[in-house]
Amino acid sequence: MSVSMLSEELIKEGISVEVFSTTANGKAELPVQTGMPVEVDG
Amino acid sequence: MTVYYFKRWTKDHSHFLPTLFKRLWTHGSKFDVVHIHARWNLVSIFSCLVCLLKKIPVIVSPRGTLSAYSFLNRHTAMKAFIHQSFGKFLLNRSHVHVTALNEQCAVQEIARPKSISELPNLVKLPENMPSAYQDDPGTFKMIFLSRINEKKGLDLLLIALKDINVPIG
Repeated sequence: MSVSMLSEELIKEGISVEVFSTTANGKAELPVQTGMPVEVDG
Repeated sequence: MTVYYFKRWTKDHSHFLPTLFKRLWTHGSKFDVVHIHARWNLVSIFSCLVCLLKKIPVIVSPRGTLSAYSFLNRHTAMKAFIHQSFGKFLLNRSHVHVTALNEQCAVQEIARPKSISELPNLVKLPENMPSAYQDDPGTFKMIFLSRINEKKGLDLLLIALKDINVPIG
């Protein structure tokens, strides 16, 4: 939560932000495409 | 915002992510700064190493994992080995972001980063804040929002509460 909010606020200030993350979701994996840019809102 | 997800090879806390390190190595230089938000673990350490080798300014947000307490709890030998062998070396060449003065003091006990900046976590509050609970102003009420963990100092808080004169303020 804190990372996404900080990123959002930086973007509002006109700063270009890219986030590198893992697919870790506890013991499971997030159902997302890997290794390519994904636009995430919030 | 643009997010790149990288599949972890290991599903324990090591979260081995060679594809992330590769992308950071090949694309990291286009950024003015890389901000590592994570526990100070192998992912963070290798990412930090890549940035320093590529001469990219790096900020580390250790999220409370850089403290004498952390190094004395769980996997202590491994943590001590990593910290003394190269963790401290990397931290001393990085900027550190902490979320509280207490965390800053804890970091300063185990490393000497290039700089330490305190920035609390952002919190979104509801537009219509509920009015304060008023039914019994003589009773001290408090909400503890955190994990029940020794590190959170709940035991100290309960002891300290005995010395508080209510109502406060």
